[in-house]
Amino acid sequence: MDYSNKFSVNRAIKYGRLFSPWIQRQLLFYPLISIFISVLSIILGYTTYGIAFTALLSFIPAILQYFGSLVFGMHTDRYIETLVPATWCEKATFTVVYSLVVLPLLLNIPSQIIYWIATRIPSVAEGNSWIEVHQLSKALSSGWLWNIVQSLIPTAVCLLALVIYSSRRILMSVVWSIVSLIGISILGGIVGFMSAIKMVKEDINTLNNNDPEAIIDSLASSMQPSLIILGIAGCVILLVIVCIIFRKFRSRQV
Amino acid sequence: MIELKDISYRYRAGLEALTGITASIPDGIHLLLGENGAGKTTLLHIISGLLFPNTGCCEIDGLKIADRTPETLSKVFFLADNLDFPQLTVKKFAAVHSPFYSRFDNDLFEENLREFGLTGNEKFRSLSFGNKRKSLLAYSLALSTDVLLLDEPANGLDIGSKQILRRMVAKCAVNFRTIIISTHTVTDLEYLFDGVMMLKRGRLILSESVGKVQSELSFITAPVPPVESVFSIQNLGAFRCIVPADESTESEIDFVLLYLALQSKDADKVLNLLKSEE
Repeated sequence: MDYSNKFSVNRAIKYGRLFSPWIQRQLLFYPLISIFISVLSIILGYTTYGIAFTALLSFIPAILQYFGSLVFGMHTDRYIETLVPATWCEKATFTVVYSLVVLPLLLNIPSQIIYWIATRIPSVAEGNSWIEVHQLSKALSSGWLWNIVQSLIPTAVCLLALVIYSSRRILMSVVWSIVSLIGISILGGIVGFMSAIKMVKEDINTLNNNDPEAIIDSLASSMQPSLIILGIAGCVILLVIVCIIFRKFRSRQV
Repeated sequence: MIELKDISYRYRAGLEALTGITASIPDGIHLLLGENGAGKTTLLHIISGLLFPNTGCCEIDGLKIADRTPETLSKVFFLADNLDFPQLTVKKFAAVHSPFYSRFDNDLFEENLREFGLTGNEKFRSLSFGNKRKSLLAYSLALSTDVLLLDEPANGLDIGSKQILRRMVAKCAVNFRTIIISTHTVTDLEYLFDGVMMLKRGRLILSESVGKVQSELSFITAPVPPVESVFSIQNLGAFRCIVPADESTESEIDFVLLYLALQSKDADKVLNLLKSEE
């Protein structure tokens, strides 16, 4: 066993194995759930009210991601976590990378692969509301950073609460994660509303043309500056949360 | 060797849990005594690195435990009152946790489990509190860390298991290892201890070897307390007394009597006797 103070990836992975039963389940089931939901969404995308169901279904992977880091608080003991002979940096790195990189990738890569395959088969993509919604969101290309950040902030908040609280860790993590989600939704709503008003004021001719694609393009261009600012601000918030998580790993006491 | 250097600890609410704790704890098995709220668990938390003292420091073999380096953490294991882990069985937990401890002895772990009548494959969460304790004791004693801290290890154990635990601790306490046992039920593990520490309202009032205590104090039973008695209690028509030791008599330490004496108003008399020959 290496007891040096240098960062050891091997030790960080060994630390992660302490949570192995939950992590193994996530590694197996998250991609499967993502594939299942994507395929189901395509099937529902052909039905009249399918769009409503696919919107509901999209919450499942989102919730799985937001609360995925709870594996670090379920049936675990802060004594064991703190006393394990690994550096605080190794413990924090594993926890943060797993929660904010591995889990989102496990949920998004299978879904993106299904979407990519579906768009390459014209008979599948034709008239499918799920694929249309995906294409629509891709049209708002300037919002990619904000899209990533807004999905990671509740996950990071959940993890932060998990390392801050010593009792009722799960409950407090869920509560704070939901609070952050509500905050982001309100912010997103305000930005969307302001952009719509701005569009109505500045680009009334596009609305009068009744061309959906033109309206979307106009909305996208009016939202662009706000989304870029929100994306950058979200990145800063995310970075601050990650820094606090690392600090907590260094200084936490029982 | 554990060095406690002027350790003080105050909780966030302002409550002073420990004040000016200074002691050198050599290898061996040490008993940590103190009334409820005296600071025993807080002291164990500081020795294990789970808490950082407000002042002073704790060193294990010259390394500050508060640095929480892998090297210092590998020297200590703290078995708290109630531990939990995500694995289904204690063996599965050992498979992922023990690789951090180079001196873990799997054969000893199996043997300890067998002695307690367990296999280690029982579902941990379906075990009774006592059996959970047994499986964790079997594991923590097999980790063979330099320092092992046990908080109320006999809690929840039946009479037979307490005897097994006593044998197990004696067997596992090899050279260059320090075991600190915090317990209220001293009789479960008596005759094991090489040293005794006692906390009173956050202060370490006693930290001595058992040999030193025996050389200075005698614990006797008499129909009436002798004149030289510094502390006595009536027990079933006779008196249990602490008297200055003389060369002709050597008695086993009565830890309960010593505890009662040091928590009483006569504590200074007993402590003066212990200090007199230094």
